[in-house]
Amino acid sequence: MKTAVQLSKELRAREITATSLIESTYKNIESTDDKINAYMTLLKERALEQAAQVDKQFDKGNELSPLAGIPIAIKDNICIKDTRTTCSSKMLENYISPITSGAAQRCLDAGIIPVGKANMDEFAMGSSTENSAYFTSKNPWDLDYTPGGSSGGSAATVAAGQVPLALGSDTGGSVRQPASFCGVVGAKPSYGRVSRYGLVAFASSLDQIGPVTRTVEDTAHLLNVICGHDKRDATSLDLEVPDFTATLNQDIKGLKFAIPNELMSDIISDDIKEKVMDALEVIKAQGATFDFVSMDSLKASIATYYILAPAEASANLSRFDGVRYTNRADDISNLKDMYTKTRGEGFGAEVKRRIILGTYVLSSGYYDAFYLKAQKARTLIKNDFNKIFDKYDAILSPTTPTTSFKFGEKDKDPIKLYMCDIATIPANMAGLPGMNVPCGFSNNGMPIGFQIVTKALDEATMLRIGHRYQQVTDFHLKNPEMNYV
Amino acid sequence: MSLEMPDLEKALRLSHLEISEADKLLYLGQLHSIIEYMKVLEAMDLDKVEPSAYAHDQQQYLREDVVEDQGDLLLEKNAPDWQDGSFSVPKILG
Repeated sequence: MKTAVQLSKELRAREITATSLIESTYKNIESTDDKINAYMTLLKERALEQAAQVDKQFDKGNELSPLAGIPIAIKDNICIKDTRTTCSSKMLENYISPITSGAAQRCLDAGIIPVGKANMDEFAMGSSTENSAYFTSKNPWDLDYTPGGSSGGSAATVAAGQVPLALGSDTGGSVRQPASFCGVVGAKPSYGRVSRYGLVAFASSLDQIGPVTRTVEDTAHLLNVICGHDKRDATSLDLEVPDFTATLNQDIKGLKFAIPNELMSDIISDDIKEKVMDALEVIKAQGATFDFVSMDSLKASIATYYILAPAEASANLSRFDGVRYTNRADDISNLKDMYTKTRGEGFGAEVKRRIILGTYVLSSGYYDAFYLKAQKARTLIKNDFNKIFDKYDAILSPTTPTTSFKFGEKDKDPIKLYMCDIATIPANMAGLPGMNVPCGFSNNGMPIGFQIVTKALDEATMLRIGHRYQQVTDFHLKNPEMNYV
Repeated sequence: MSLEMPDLEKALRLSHLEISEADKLLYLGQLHSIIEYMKVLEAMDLDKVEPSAYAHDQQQYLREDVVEDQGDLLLEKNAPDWQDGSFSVPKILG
C-alpha cells in the first residue's frame, strides 16, 4: 500500500502513468469491494478521462500540483456535478448534483482524481455506517466489525489500500472516529478552513470537510489543496492558508501538551488508555512535555451536541419534502400527505429520531430549557479550550472510548452509540482542528488512535506533532491482512 | 421535564413526519432516555453565560447581491413531477 507522496514521486519520475494508476485502482476496488463495501457509486469513465488529461500535462512537462494524478474517494454527501449524490439515503436515491462542491473542485483543479463516492451513515448521522439506507461498509481489519462512521466508507477504502486519499465530513467526529477504528489518519480542520459549499448540510455550525489518509504527510498535502476561502460559503474564512508541508519536519522539542483527565477516565477502555500513554511517552521522548488537566465542561459535551446538531439538522433537512429532490411517496391525496409520507418513507430511523429531537428542543416551551442552555454550554466548552491554550500548545487524548465494535452491538441503544463521540465532539463545538493518528492495536487486533487538538487555525502544529510521531513509530505502516479477498 | 406522547405528536406535526404507531412507541422510549440524559445541563451554572451560535465570533462573508449564472441546475431531471417548466405538487386549495 503506497502513500500519495510515494505515488506522486513515481508519477513524476514517469515510472507509472496516471492512467495505469487509475486502472490498477479500479482493478483493486473490483477485487476487494464486494467484501469492504466502501463505495456507493464508482466514477470510472470520468476518472480515466481525467487521468488521460493529467498524463498529457505530465508529458508536456507542465508544473502540476503534488497530488496530481492521485486517486481519491469522496464521501457521498460531497457533491460532484452530474454525479449521483445520495447521502446514503433513500430520499436522494437518484439525485444528480447540479454543482461541484468547493472542496471537490479544488481537488479536481489540483488534478486529484475522484474514483468514487463513499458510503456513509445516512445524512452523516451515525458512527458505524449501519445507518446507510443501502449497505454497511466493513472494517478491513475484521469484516465482522464496523469501520466507524459516519465517514465509514472513506476510512475503510483507505485502510483497505484501495485509494491513498479520501474526503469525509466531520460534524461530531465523523472523520476522526472511523479513522481511529480503521487505523488511518483522519483530520478535521478548523471551522471555516474548508468550504462547505456543496456539502449537503447536517449541522451547519459544526460541519467541516476533512481528509482521510495513511500518513500525516499526505494529510498535510491534501489540506494544502482543499483549504481556502470560497465566497459561496458565508462561513468560509477569508484568510491566507499556510503551506502545511513547510513546517512538517520541524521538531516538537519544548512543546507543551495537556491531557484532559476526563478523557483518560474509566469511560475509556483500558487497552486504549495503555496505548495512548505509550504514545505520550514516545512524544515526550521527542522533547515535549505534558500535564494532566481538568476540563469540567467535557461532561456536558454529548448532551450539548445532541441538542444543537439535531436542532440544526431539523431545519436543514426540511428541504426534503417531495417537491424538488427526486423522491416523492406514492398514494398521496394532498400537499400535507406528500410532505409527511415522503419524509416518513424517505428518511431512515436515526435521521427521523434526530429530526424529531431537533424539532422538540426548538419548539415553544422547550427552547430555553434545551436549545438555549446547550448554546450556553457550548460557550463554556469554548472557554475551557481557551484557558488550556493559554498555557499549552495542544491537547492529546484517545480519539474514541473503545475500539471498533461488531455490527449490531450498539444499534438498539442510541445513547451507547452517541458515547462514541465523547472525545471528538468538543473540537467541533469550539471549531478547532483535530486529528486521529494510529498508535497501536487492542488485544483483539483492532486499531487504536490518539487525537491531537490544537487552537483554531493552528493545523500546522497539529500536523507537525502527528508527523513527528509517525517518523518514530510504524503503526501507520501496518496493513490489514485481508486474507478474506 | 420529560418527553411524553403529546410532545412527540407535536414534534411529528411540526416536522411533517409520518411514522407508524409502533414506531411512535419505540421512538418515545428512546427519546425519553435521550432527554433524561440531557439533564446533565441542568446541573450547570449557565445563568450568566452568553450563548454561542457558532464556534468562532467571526464575521460572515456575504457576497454581492447580484444575479449569477449557475448553469443548468438540473431542476427538471431531479424533480419528482415537472410540468410546463414548474414543479408540480398536489392541489393545495379545494
